[in-house]
Amino acid sequence: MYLRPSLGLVLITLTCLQVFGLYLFLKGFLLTRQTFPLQGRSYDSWDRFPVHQTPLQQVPTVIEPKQPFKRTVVILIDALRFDFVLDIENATNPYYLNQFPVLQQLQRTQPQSSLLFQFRADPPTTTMQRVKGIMTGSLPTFIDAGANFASSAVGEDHLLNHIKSKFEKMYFFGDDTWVNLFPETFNDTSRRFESDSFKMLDLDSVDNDILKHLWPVMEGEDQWQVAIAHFLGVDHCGHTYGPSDPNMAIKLNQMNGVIERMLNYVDKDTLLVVMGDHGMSVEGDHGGESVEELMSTLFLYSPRQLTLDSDYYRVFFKQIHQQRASRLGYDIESISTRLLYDASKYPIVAQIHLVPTLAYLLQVPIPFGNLGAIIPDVIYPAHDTNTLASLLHMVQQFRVNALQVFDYLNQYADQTHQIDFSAEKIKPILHHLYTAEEIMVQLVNQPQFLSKVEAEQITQEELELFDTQLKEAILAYDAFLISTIKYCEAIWAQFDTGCMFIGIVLLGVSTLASFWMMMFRPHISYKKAFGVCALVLSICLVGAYVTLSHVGGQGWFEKMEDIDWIGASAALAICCIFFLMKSKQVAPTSVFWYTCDWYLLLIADIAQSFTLGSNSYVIWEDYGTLFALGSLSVCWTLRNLKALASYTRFSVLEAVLYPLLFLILVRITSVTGQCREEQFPDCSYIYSNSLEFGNHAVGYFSLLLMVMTVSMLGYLSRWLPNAQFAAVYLVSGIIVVLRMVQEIYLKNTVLQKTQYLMVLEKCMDVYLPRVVYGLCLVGTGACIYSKKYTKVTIGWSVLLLWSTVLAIVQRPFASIIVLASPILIDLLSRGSSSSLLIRLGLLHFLGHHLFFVTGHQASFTSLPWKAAFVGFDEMNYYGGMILVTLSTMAGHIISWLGMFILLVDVPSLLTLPLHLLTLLQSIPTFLCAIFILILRRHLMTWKIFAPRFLVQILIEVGAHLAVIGLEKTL
Amino acid sequence: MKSFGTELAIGLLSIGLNYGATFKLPTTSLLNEPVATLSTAVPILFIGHIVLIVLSNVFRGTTNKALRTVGYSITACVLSTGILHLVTVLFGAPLIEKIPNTFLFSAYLSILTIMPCFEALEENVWIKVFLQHSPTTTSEIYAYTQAICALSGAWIGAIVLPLDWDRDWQAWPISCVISTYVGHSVGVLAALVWSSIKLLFGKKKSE
Repeated sequence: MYLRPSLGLVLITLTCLQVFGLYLFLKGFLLTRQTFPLQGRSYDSWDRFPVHQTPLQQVPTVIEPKQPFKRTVVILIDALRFDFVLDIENATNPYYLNQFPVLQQLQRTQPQSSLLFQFRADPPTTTMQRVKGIMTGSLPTFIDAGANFASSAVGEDHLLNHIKSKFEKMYFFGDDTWVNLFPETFNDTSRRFESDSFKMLDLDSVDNDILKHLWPVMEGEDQWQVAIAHFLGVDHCGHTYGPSDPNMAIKLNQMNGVIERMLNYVDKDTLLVVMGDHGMSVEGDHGGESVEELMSTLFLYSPRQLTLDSDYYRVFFKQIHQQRASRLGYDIESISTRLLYDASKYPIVAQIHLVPTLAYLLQVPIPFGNLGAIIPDVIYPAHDTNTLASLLHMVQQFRVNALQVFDYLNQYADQTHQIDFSAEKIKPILHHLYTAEEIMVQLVNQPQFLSKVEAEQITQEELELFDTQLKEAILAYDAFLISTIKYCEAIWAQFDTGCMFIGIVLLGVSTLASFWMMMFRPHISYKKAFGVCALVLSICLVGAYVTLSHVGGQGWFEKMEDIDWIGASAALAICCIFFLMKSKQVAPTSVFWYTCDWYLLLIADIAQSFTLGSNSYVIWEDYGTLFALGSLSVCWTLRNLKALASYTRFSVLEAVLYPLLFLILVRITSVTGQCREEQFPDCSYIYSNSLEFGNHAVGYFSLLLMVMTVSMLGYLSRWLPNAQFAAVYLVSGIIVVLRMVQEIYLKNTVLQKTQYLMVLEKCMDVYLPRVVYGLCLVGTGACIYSKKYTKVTIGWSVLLLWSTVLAIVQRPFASIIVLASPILIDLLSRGSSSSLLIRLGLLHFLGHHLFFVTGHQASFTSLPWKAAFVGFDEMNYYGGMILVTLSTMAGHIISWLGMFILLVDVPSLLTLPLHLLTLLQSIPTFLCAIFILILRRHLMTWKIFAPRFLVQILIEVGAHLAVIGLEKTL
Repeated sequence: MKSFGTELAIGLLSIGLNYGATFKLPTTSLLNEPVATLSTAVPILFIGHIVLIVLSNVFRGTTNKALRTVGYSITACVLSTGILHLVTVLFGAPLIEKIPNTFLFSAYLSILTIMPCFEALEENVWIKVFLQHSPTTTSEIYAYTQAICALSGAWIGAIVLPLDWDRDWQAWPISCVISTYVGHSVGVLAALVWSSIKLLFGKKKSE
């Protein structure tokens, strides 16, 4: 009894193995966090008291906080490392130490009014992520699910939102990152003066621009309430010259002057916040998580008393800060050794702590998604009451903060049903909160406590009676807040390396199995197969059990569930069965390409895969793909020339002609595309925006392009079997051209919105695209189900009909390219079978090339969101998703349809080409996964490597499905 | 045996000529001013290689054919400069900007590819050598390896272009010029090794 799986079954099994490997890998790799469109609210101090039992009737007196500030100045100095603001003796570095002394001088002269902290950033230390963290109080993750990819705007509740609703007159100066992040807050263009943040070599223009506008506003008529200034000079100086440079001294002195001058405008009702968003490394760069990059500065100042200034409180605050530092694992010693100051002298606060702190000082609600804990030093009751009342006031503020975080945790658990947030898992964290509430319940139940709180004066003994319990309650609330941060950090920022590793092993083994199946015929006895299956399965399961009980924890196998282990073991067992099938493939000797060429393609593919591990090559992949196409075209030419029987002038010309024409067309298409952010300023694509119908040369060019497109449609329609199909194709094609004309026309014309025009627009945007979708589906169906046509005709009809759908969801230039792409397929389909594999390889790279030239890039910002609205008035979730996917994958889909046309002549010899096509995608996926594992802490992971990997996954799965489809239909 | 020495001598001379013309003779440095440097280097190379063609004919004792070979080589060189310019653009070189850079590079590459063939080949065996890829005699081997290695060198040189190392030699077309030069030199060495092996072990077969 022999097991002889058919080619289709083998392909399907291999696809399942790959998908399962990818699933495990992604499970370990993708860090996600759900964001909610909910607004934070203000809590009563004793809301739901106690939170874990039925509320008590009796609650303590509410101690009011001091009057909130009426005006706030936030000065954010980019890359202000903590040691830049120090004013110390024996300065060892002349350029950045003691150059910005004003903060410490203030602290020395007015200790009650100024607070200086080490401000610890959460990696990644990039400005955009930091500003987001400082304003939302949330931790950074890769995907903020629910957020909008299309713009970088923050999609959840943030502090500015609440400040804006209380303080209308809000001014902004400096780095335009803020405007991009919070477009709704800074919608008043007369009150914002943003500057471009990308000119690294320019140290002064942003800062000077800020200063030009800042002082007039400060002195101006308009009663400003909030002013935010984001200075970039220090950061740019770091990038350009590094911290140890005379320019740094100049920049820091300038900032010193700015703060000194600003002090003139800071009165008793004004709060001055000076902070940095991150530090800078020894070389002056940032983005990573070294101590130099993490330690920034936070300074709070107001002429009125800002902090309870007595040794009693100072000792207590220090205790809180120490508890936080030890819970969050801050390594104070390493800060001291690497940054040349005594880090234990200044408290360390996490950046997200600023959110509840500012919310308290301005008396606005804490944003919904905040995880930060209030900085205790700023808590100050309204009246100079007794110590007990001050402590009770502190309890209230911690409790409000804790309630907000508690609500957030509950909301997160309810909405996501994530196991990590189940009641069972967060029980130890909630335990702190319940302890604190328990202590407060006990205190409230003692009648003399409340009377003592309200007393004018209390004696030392009376204080001692309660102060231990109050402090314990505060520390317990704080423990709840800090453990939540630590827990969420672990869940949202922890890769499961074990999971990723197993995923990679599966990807590698199944890729190898794919290769094996390409070389050998699947043929094995049932006995052997079952034996191996059982053996490998049991070994793997025992291995998994042993690993689990010994390795576990800290990012290894935490996310692997039992079913994953079983699945992984089964996958390995199946691969082992594949490896045992070793009988020789019966190769038809007549076919030349069978023994050759596939290794050339594999080498080219592996070489191309290795470029995925280098950020430069990923950034310039559009050019790399063109280069690969050029090289393979040369191979095609050489193969043609070598296969010639006689070398007449005509035959040589013919051998060269098709590769040359193909390459010329490919090069012409590559003048358009979309630039990645990282490609500037060396990127010079022609944009769709440059088309117009004015009376200039451009107008004639655009018209010519449209006419050319229509005549091309007519030329292409001759491949269709009969006039009906040609009509369907031409109608769809002309609708695509009409939409192009409309898009180009609307771009540079302002039209009065009349009734008539609205109807026309709706027709163009909604109904016409639907006609195209409908015609395409009907046409495809008619073509496949009527038995009249040959396979070649079906292939061409499907390709042409679908090219119209793929074209309508693109921008104008890309539409033309997609409509013209059948010509490229036609060129590739001309050639003898000796070059078939090379042409398949060309088709494989052509798909990727079309992906780039139709205006897509492997980055989130370039996702074609507009495509979701082609044919739909409102956002339709699934329809939109399909359209965006179609738009993104258009190039690849065309290449897969082209494969059908290329392979239709050789149906008996499919094993090698089909396996080769899957290998061409699974090898890059496998290598890309390895690079991601190695580079998972790399600065560019989330910006460059991860999006590229996601695109790779999409192509890989698509290609596998396409190959299965090819096997079934050919 | 005689052709072995002649080809080697001509090959080594052309390596020397290329080196001098690219790196030594121009007053400007390739790294700082590629266009200016190549504008001097290319004419020097052109004339130098024509001299080498004449010289190779003199060595072989076919002086009467020298003039015709020179004529053919100049035509081929000019034509192939145009073709190589097109191919370079097809491979991704900028279409409109940096035309001088691309053109000088194609001229450089075409001289280093075409001229050695005219120096090495004695008779008209182009189809056998370059279309069927089967060079047999020493002079054919020299022509074949020099041309193929120079072209491969130029191809490999493009690999460093996208890297973000900010080095001078990454500017177009410096890395490709250098790698073309290196490729040609490797070609001469490869021809030496190949023809030596053929001479030592392949004697029975050829006779």
